[in-house]
Amino acid sequence: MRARNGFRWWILATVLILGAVVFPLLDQRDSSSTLVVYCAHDAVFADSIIRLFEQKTGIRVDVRYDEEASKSLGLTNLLIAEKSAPRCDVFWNNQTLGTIRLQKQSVLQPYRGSGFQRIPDVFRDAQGHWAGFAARMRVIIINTELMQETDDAVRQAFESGDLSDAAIAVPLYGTTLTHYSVLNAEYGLKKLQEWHRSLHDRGIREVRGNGAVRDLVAAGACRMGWTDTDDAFGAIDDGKPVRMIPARTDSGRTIVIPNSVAMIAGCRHPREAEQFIDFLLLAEVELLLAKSSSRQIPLGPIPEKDLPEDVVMLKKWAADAVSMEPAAERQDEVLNWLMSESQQP
Amino acid sequence: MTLSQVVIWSFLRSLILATLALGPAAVISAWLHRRSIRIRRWGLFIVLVPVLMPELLMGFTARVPAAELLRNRWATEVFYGVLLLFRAVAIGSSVQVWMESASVSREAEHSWTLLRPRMSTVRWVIGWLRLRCEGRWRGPLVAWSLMVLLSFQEFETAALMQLSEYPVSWSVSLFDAHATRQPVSDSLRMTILPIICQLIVLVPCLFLLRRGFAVGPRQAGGFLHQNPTEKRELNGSGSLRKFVKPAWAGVLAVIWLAASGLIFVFWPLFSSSSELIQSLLSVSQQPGMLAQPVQQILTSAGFSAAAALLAYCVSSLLIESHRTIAAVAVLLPGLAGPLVTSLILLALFQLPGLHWMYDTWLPMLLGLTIAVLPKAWLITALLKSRRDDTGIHSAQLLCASDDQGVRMTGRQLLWKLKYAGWCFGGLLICHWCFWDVTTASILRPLRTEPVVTRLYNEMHYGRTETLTLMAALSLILPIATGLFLIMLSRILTTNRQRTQETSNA
Repeated sequence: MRARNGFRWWILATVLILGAVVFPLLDQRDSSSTLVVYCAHDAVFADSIIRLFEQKTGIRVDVRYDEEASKSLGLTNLLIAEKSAPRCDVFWNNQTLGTIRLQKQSVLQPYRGSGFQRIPDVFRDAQGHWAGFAARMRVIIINTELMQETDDAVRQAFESGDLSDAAIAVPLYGTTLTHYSVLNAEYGLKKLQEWHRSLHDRGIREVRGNGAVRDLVAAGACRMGWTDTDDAFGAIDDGKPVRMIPARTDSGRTIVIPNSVAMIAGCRHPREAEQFIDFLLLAEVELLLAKSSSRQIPLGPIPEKDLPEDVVMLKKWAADAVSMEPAAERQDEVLNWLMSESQQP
Repeated sequence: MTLSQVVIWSFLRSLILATLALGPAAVISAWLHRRSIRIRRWGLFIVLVPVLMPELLMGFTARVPAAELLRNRWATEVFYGVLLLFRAVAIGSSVQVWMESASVSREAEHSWTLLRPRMSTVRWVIGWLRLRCEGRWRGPLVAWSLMVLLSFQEFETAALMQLSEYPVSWSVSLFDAHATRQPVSDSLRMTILPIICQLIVLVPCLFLLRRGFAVGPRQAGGFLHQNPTEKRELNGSGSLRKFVKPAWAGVLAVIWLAASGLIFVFWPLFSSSSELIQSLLSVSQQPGMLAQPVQQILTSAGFSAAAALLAYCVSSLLIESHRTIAAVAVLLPGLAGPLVTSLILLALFQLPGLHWMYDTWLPMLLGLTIAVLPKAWLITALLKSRRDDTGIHSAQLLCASDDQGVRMTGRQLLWKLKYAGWCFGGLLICHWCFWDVTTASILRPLRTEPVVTRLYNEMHYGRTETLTLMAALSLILPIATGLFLIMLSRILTTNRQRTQETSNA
């Protein structure tokens, strides 16, 4: 028995040592000059951009993509957890509120490089802690076999007593949280709470993620729902009977959610990080993202003739964009309320 | 709903489902016991299909159809309950098939009945309960505990299917609470009630299985070599016969297995058939596109195998130490769920003394091991409780025979008695580790992407060819590799013994 136990201790020790020491040593890649990027933007779109950067600069990039399981908040929380000894050099977020939160927690360091100047003031931090680029937009996705894709039809549907054929994602994370934060900044918490309760009282279907909203509307399980432009284009490209109209606040503003890029305070490769940030803010990259199937809206100046037709339309909608700063200020208020709401007996 | 209400809801649902699953599990296990050894072996594999179909893929398959068909919140809850019920029956019937026959005979029970007039009622009832728990109820009770535990810990299907807060799930609520930026210490505090709920079920099971080790060498037991015609008292099968005739039990078992095959194999396959065909056509034209997914699958399989090995070793050491409190203490973190366990490990590896190991495989390996440990412990305990020392000794005697045919039979028997259970149990533990998205997403090293996190990301784009191909490969490749390795180990073990005999001669 003693011999068998000893054998098991040996197995335990061997596996642990292999995991901690030997296998990392086998990885021959030189980590001293490798830039580490945390990327919340979808891997299918971001990967080609990052590889292009590698080709152009010769700098190797190790990327950690976000998981849908913990979308957006995953990498933001990870960066906060790693704050004392950061592993990451650059954070490419797919929204801005999480990045502003990192700025408040002193996780970011300012950098105003060559690309920074071409981004409009409303989409960048004045001190250079972050800069926005290539945006998505909140939209209402509509199943055209079940209802008309007009503002009037949508307004009538929302004014009806039954919303059991409409869908929205859980507002605790992702762009739905951004949407709620924008509404909070515009309406105030009391009116947002009334609106939220009214949706639920009328039976709106709350699902986990914008992808699920898109799938329900595309399958005809719901007539309409709130989602993002990239999700809606996914269904349109698949040939589903869906169209989209912009989601507007009561004041008629649209909700534009840019990607954002920021350098991590105390990062190990600041020089390479600067090069990467400059690269992401180039017009060339915004154009590539505009031409990708997610049809990101360029924020810097790009001639309209170079843009795909869909993006030209989105750019017109984006001209009415609401500022994100007030929303960021009041996001915690929304989260605290939503959490207390979910704890109600 | 408050978290306490959600936890109690989830716990009650698990208790109800596990209790409901006892009937079908008993019918299926009794039916399997009456089959020939070969049918029994394949039957067990078919029985386990709902457990082998990952929660993630099932949740993804069920998400849209459930929302299309179910307009009522309660209907969603019931539908989720049905999925859990099939899983519970699968694990329950497998456990009952694996658990050996009752260690307390009917005669002993009858003798105790005769003692009733001579004892106080309380003492007699306690003794009667003890005899039952160590006797014919032992298998169903252990199966019930495992069914409660598995149903209670489920996360991915509930998370993917959830529609307007239904199905209610404590693990989903915990994730939501974490999403609202609460500190890990708060998340940890929130797991106290779920841990207590699981301990209520696990601790009695722990004692029940410990009694099994204390009884000593088993009589010739084990499902793989039992004669189907032998009239042995199976776990609870005596009482089962009162309710269901054997012929009807067979019909019911076949209907149940067919239904589970329809839900857990045919439905996912049918709903993705066009994408699967398209992806197979693409692969036939560009075989190179398989390289990256296969590499990710093998990496994940390697992690899972290492975590399963660690979990086996820790479980064996715990069981052989006979220290119940130590066992509970080691299993506790796993009961908190993978989210909280991973967050705590993440925080630990940020400490200055441990930070140099942060970007290695170690955090993920530890996370997977800790998360799977409660299940691994139960499987190890089950395997140890049915260890057939007499049978092994007999097989060893057969191996020493002068007749080559007898020696071969002995060798094969020895493999089945000594190693088969550990191999198949290990495969199941590997499978659970392989599909643990939460741990992998939080603790994976920078340069390693397990296939399961990539699959999760692909799900965002709906039912695509890439997703279908990766899901099919991730499902088939590790199980096929595992089965191949088990067959190989069997051949090597029997051949090694043969070589040893030849050299001795």
